[in-house]
Parts: sequence; C-alpha cells; structure tokens
Amino acid sequence: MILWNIWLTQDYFEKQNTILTYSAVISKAYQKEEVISYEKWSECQNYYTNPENLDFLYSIPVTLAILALREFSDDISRRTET
Amino acid sequence: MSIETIAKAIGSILQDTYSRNYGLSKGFNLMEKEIALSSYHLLMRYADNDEDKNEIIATMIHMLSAPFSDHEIDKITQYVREIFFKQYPDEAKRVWLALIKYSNYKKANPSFYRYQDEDSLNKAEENEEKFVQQISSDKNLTLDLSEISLEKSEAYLLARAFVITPYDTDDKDFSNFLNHILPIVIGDLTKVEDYSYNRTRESRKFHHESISDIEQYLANLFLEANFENSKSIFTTLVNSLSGNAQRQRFGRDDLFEFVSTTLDYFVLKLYDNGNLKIDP
Repeated sequence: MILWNIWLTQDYFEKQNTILTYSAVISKAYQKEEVISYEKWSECQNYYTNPENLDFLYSIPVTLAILALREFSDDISRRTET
Repeated sequence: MSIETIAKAIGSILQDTYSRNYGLSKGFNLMEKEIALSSYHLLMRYADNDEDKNEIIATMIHMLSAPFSDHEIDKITQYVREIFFKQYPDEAKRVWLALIKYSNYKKANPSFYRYQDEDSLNKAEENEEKFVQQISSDKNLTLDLSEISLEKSEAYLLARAFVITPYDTDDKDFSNFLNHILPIVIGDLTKVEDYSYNRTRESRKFHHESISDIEQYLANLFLEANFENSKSIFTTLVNSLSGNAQRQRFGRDDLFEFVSTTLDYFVLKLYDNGNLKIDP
C-alpha cells in the first residue's frame, strides 16, 4: 500500500511537470520571448486534446489557441480550422 | 478549433461575471481571463462573413456592460480603445455606437430585479438579448447627441462608452461625443450622491467607479491627443470650477475633486513618462 502511494505520487509529479513544461513553452511564445514552430504548437495542441492533460490551474489552452491565430494564420486556418 | 476554444472561454468568462462569480466556473483558467478578453481583433481577422462579425460585436457589448472589477475594466477599455479601434476602426465604431444605443435601452428598461415573477423576467431577458443582437447587426447606426442625456441613457454604460472613445482620429463623431458628454458628467458631479436603489431624478447618476475611469481616461487624452482635439475638453474641464462659485460647504466637493484628480493624474503620467519611461 505504501509502495503504491509512492508510485502514485511520482506519477502525479511527473504529470504536473509535463503540464508545466508545456505551459512554459506556450507562455514564452505568447510573450514573444521565444519563437514557437508550427510543429511544437501542434505537439502542445495534441497534448491538450486529451482532457486528462488539462489542468484547471496550470494548463493554458486559450493562450495556445490565441497563439495559433496570431502566429500561424495561414497554416492553421488551412490545416485545423473547420 | 482555436476560434472555438477562445469563443467558449470568453462565453464562460462573461457568464461568470454576470453571475458575479458566485459559482467558480471551470470553463477557463483564471490566468487566461485577460488574454482571452483581448483577443477580439484576432477573432475579427478570421470572421469572413457578416454573421460572425455581428456575433463578435454582440459579445463585445456584453463584455463592456458586464460588472467586471475596476482593474479588469481598466484593461478591457484600454484594449478596445488602443488595439481593437486601431485594427478594426469600422467594427469598433459599431461597438461604440451600439453601446450608446444600449444605454438608452437600459434606461427605458431598468434592471431585472424589478420583475416579480420568473416568466416576465425571462421575457425581459429575451427582449434585451434580441435588442443587443439587433444593434450588433445594424451597420447604419448613427450618433444622435440629442438621445444622449442622463434622462435618456443609463449612466454606467455611457461612462463605458466615454472611456473607449478614441481620441486620435479625425472622425468628428468622437470629438463631438466627448464635448457633449463631459458637461453632462460635470453637471452630475454637482448633484448629491444617493446610495439607495430608489434614485430620484436629482440624485447623482455616475458612480464613483465610473468617475475614476473617466479621470484616468482624460489624463491620457491630455497627454496623447492632438492639442487641437483636446483643447476644448481641457477648457470645459477647467472652466467648470469657475462657473460653480457656490462651493459645497459640507462634505466633499466632488466636482473639485474630479478636476484636481484628473490634472494630478495628467502631471503624474507626464512625470512617469518623461522620467521613468512608463507607458501611460
């Protein structure tokens, strides 16, 4: 039981870490501190497609969506907008 | 998909704000509130038909009339005035004109708490939404200054229209509006504040929050607008005190406070801008 809890905690922290890493990439691109490629943007978008990866406090899907409209106007309207 | 994500978030934010944040919605991350509410110019870029454009305009009217907190409304109005108006002047002017028309509607159809039963409340809400949709899709709205007064318009909406008015354009509608509305604000500040819901005709209509927004706005206008445009506004503001020789003997003199605070802000912003390079 104790061992199970340790694994659970480790999983939890790993997931939080991934969520925060994606948020940092998106945030820096939004602030124009770093350039984001279309491939990286797609990777973030795919990650957020799974509702389990959406954290109420730390995920920033709206910022990612705005980034799409701002940075990849042609690309994204052609490939993902319906 | 991206547009849908943003529209959904804005919808949740407005719903939460109108319900005074009673239930903490999980429809959006709070950190993204400001980002979502300053994305209308991006949404407009992708709106390729009138229906979508009208929808964006209607959402902006709802946003500009929503009970956001002071610091939030400051950012919202600044965004509309400085970014949205510059990128989409025609659509922004439609928002501005519609907001003024909405202030007439709200004055003629006061708040929902007056309705006693659910049916009439629902009907009133439905009618109001229909009106917002109608003014949002009307491309032929015009400015009619004779319809703008505290007898005919709801003050807090007029104040919101005031502080989104751009001051660096040649469109005379904006300067005419500013020159029309400032004397109304000044006149109102000589009336007595009345905190009860039963507002008499003679009591103050502009709330403190609105006045504070207007003070900030005017200071920015004096700092940034062409002097030809701001001269008459400046003169009206300063002269308002000389015409008001009978100062209030007790309590605060709110008109005096308004003029002096506006000029203080102007000087402070000028100082910050010159010395600290802080944007106004």
